[in-house]
Amino acid sequence: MTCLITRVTTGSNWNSMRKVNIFRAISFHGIILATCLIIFTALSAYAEDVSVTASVDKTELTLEDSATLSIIVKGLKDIDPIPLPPIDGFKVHSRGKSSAVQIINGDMYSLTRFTYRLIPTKTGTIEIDSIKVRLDGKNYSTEPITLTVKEAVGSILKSETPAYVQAIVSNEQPYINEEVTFTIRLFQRVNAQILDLEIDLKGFRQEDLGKPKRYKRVINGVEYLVTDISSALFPIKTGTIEIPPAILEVELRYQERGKASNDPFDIFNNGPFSNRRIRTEHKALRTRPIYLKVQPLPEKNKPENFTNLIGQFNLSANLSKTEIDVGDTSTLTIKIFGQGNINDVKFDLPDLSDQFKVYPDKPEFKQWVQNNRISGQKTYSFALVPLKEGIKTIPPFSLNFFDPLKKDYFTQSSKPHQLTVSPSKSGESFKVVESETQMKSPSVKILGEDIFPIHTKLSDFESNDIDNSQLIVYAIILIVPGLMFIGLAYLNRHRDQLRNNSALARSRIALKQANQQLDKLTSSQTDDQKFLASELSRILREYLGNKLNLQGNAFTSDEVETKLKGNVFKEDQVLKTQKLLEKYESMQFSPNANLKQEKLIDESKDILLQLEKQI
Amino acid sequence: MKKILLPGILLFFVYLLWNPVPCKAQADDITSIILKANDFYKEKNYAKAEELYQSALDRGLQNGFLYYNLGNTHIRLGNTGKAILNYLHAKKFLPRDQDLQANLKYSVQHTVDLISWEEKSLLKSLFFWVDNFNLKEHLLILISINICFWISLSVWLYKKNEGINLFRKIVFAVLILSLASTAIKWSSVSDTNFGVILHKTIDVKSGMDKNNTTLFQLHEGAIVSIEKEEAGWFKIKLKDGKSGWAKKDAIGI
Repeated sequence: MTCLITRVTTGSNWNSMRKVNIFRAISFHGIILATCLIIFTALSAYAEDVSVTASVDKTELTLEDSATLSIIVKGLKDIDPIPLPPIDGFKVHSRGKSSAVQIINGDMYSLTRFTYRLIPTKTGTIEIDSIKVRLDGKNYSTEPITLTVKEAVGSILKSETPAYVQAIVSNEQPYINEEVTFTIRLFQRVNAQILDLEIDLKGFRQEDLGKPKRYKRVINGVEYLVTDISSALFPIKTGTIEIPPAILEVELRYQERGKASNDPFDIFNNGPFSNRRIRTEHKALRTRPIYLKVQPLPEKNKPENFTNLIGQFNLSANLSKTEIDVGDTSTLTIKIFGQGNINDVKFDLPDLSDQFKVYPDKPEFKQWVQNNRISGQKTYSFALVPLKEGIKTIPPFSLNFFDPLKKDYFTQSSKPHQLTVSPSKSGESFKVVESETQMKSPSVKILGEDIFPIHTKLSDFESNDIDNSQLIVYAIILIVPGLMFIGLAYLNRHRDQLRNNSALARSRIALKQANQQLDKLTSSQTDDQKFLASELSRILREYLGNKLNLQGNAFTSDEVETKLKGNVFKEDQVLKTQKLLEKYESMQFSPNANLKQEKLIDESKDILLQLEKQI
Repeated sequence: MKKILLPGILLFFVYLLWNPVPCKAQADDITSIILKANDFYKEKNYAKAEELYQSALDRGLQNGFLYYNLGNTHIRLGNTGKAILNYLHAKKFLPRDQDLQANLKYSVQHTVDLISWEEKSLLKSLFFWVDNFNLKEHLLILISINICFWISLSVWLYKKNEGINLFRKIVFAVLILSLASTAIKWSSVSDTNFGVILHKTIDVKSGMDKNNTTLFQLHEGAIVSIEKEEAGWFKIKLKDGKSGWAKKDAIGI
């Protein structure tokens, strides 16, 4: 009994082209089935036999086909990708990894499949050696696999193939630097998706000719969808240059009625209840090599200042103003446009420094594709400031190029321009100053360019970097003012509370005030016990009055009991306080010589502290 | 005692901030290297000067003038790409240095692709001043404004009038702007993703394989934006939107 449990697909290359099947993969039925089986899995035990096997989906293939190599690891989970060694005769593309759990006769196995696409690069019998894998500390190896690669059928009889590809060049005998349009043309009779195009072009400068063009064409009664992928090639050396075979990887899609698959990894591609399926086929279509005979440019009629421009070009020159005052600016615009290697155009303005101060602008370059060829325009702008009044002549400018169609050199020239320069029309007094400045400014001729010197002030070579310790300091300095403000706000609020709440204010100062008075009494060293007892009694009553926000201090020791008990004081404290006050009262009437001043004061301080702790 | 403790600690940190304590021996060592390198440069022994400037950098000194001098040395050696790369590093620390601006402009003008180093984005246009200060300056400005803000708030606590109210609101707005500027600068410095082409010419491919299609070519000194790195290749992007893969060793970062 074989039962598929679940499947996880990873890897950047895995089935990126199988978008059609994604919706099936997440179909409702699939989710229900997978959920049930996951629960079942959790309740089952895994079998632990580990094995590694390698297999291919076909052993005979043509140069246009690809084979799928699968390495299946049974009995282990969470396996890292297995790197494949280079295989002579094949290009190998990893297509990712998938995992599944399989139950065979009640035993559960974890299966991990690593898939690789093998694209043949030569014909013949090719053996894939045993693949050695180290997993979980043990070595495993697969059986060798032999594949036979034959010449592509499509290259023999193209009308029988669902898709084929051709390489076409616009000119097989171009001149050096001449634009050659190179087109890879895909003919397809079935739905096809282009996956990759590989071609190793050497000896050319290449420019893209835009998006592929699609159109239909009937060949021998068969309708093909044709896709042209074009680029412009500019040969950079003479002699025979090969355009090697281009490999166009495509995925052909055939829609057909399906049959149940035995592949446990295949259920999510087609859905468990679907009888329609899309069969895909990977093809690596190849073009034939093309050999270009690149000719050197003829020496005959070659102009002296020729700058390797090949194509058809035009030149125009224009002045923004033909009548200006001294100090004003007229812009000279030179436009060079046409088809060919327009990017290589270079234009240097002849020396006009005896008549003008010249300010060149950055050249503008535009390129576009016209009739499947590169066209473009380079625009050079120069601001001309005349140095003196009079009629100035801008000489004609010329451009040499080689026209490969007419096989000869040509020169395009602009018309000469005249510029009438009048004296400045500004006011007399201003004109004198302006005239001087303007005459001085253009007279500074730039003779060369250089960089500014190195920096040598050693004190500037301290580290500008911000390290972690500095970052911490920055953070602290950012936070501290905020914290200080919070503290200040708290103090302010507290002060406001004291100001607005006299009970609280009295309570806060009660102990401090009592202690100050007791200290004063200590320092007075009086022998008068009556006075001492009276003072101690007053201090204690005042303290209690402040603490309990009572008006006056003329309450008796009995009243103390009532007032203190009504608050939070413990009974024994109340009793002690009451007794102490009674003691002070009796001392005022019958002094006791045995009682010493220090002891009495200490006793008072002690009771004050105990009362303070209560509140 | 308590009254002076907190301000004392604060002042100590401020002192540390403005006067970081360097390892004196190492600082002397690097200073003598730079001194020698400067001498070699003046004697036109640029190869030796480059070696010494580079060794000062390798010792961990991050300094705008050091990058600037190394850039100058590479210009003299004809390495336009490396010169631009070092000037761009220097610009992080010396955003307003006129000599640096001039030399960087000079170097870029001598490249084939003429790609400017200036970034244009809506955020950069709105916060146009961000690139006029380095990260340290941004942080110090932020700290100063932060202190001003809390002081204004403290004054407001004791004395509430229209003038102080307006002042604290203005300082708060400036603080928010400064915070945003610092965040933008921090982000642009920590996500430094520019690269400079160091080889004379490189082919930019459609994928991470030399056999892939060449999309376009770049030349020494071209400034590119690096989007990601994978298996010895950089995915690069130009300001006009062109992108592709280039070998990592051809690009200096």
